[in-house]
Amino acid sequence: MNSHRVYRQWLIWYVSGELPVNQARALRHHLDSCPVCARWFEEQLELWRMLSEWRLPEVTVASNRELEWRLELERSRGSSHAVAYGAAEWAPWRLVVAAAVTCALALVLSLPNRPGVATRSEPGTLVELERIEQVLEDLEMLQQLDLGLDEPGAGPQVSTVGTGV
Amino acid sequence: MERAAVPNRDPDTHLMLTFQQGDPSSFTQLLTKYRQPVVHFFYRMIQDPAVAEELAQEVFLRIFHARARYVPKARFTTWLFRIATNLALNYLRDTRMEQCRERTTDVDTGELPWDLPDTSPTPEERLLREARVQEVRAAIASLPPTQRAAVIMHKYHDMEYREIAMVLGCSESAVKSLLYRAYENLRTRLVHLVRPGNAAGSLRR
Ligand SMILES: [Zn+2]
Repeated sequence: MNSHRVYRQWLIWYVSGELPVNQARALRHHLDSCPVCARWFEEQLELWRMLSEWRLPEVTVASNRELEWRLELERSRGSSHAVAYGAAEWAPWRLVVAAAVTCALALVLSLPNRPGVATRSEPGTLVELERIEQVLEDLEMLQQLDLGLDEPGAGPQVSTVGTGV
Repeated sequence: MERAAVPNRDPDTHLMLTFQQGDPSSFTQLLTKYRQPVVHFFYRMIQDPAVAEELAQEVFLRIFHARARYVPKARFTTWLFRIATNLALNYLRDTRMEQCRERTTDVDTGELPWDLPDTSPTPEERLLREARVQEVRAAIASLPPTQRAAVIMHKYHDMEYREIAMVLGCSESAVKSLLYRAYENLRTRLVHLVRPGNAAGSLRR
């Protein structure tokens, strides 16, 4: 009968702790009399536990600094904005700090294959600076295109959203 | 589609608004709080640490750029994950995940640099756990992108159906159905790893 599917759907919410108490009671009652769903439940519970085993480490300080550096660059480029990251007013010393951070970051990233560090980019090189400049220009272009990112719910739609469900 | 949430009571929305009004420390707070969840979201979606870092930076740069036009209509995290999800889905659509799928389905390729060091007590347990995590990763990578995003938000970011629905731009019941299919796909794919009896009786406790 179709009700098995309903109970199985409930089982997922039960395992994640989201099933209301009265439905949980009905579910337990069903499992007592349905070995097929009981077995399914055991597998679902084990699946939930297995998924929990996939844990990730903390994000490294180096990658945080890369973003801060990019934002710093952005701030210094976009000083025409009234509100800017880091300070409301132009402060040349920040460029010096940004340069120092960049050098430190380049040094850190040049260490061979440390786990947890994204090694694809090498901030501090001319190529990378040009690349970041390009990205920021692209971002400005994107902003001018007005993709609606400033409006929650109005982000750029992708074909899978809304139609793939 | 978008429900009127209670953004004014959301402390993160408040931070975004104070950032908009000129307080840079509010943005720093948001960055500190959400950088890691966003990087982890991308890592689980795309399973490439460098791309995850890159896309996470992109999210915060976009938020930075959008500050002047920010209008709170939902919780800040909904907006944040909506940007992140769109970036991830666009990335996956563009790259079609071919290389990643190859890598994650091959159990012998060893740990990606982003897996946690294993603390299992014995070498046998360590190997078993590693194999399970590899299979979990491969199973998640094999899901269609929207199912994958829904599972990651639900399982690893503790997001409710309503918020996932707002992120994905669909109804709550569609999200429930999507998640049911996703977990069913994962169960089918990972059922051989299930140890019978392990979970028995837990429901009745
Ligand atoms: Zn049944």
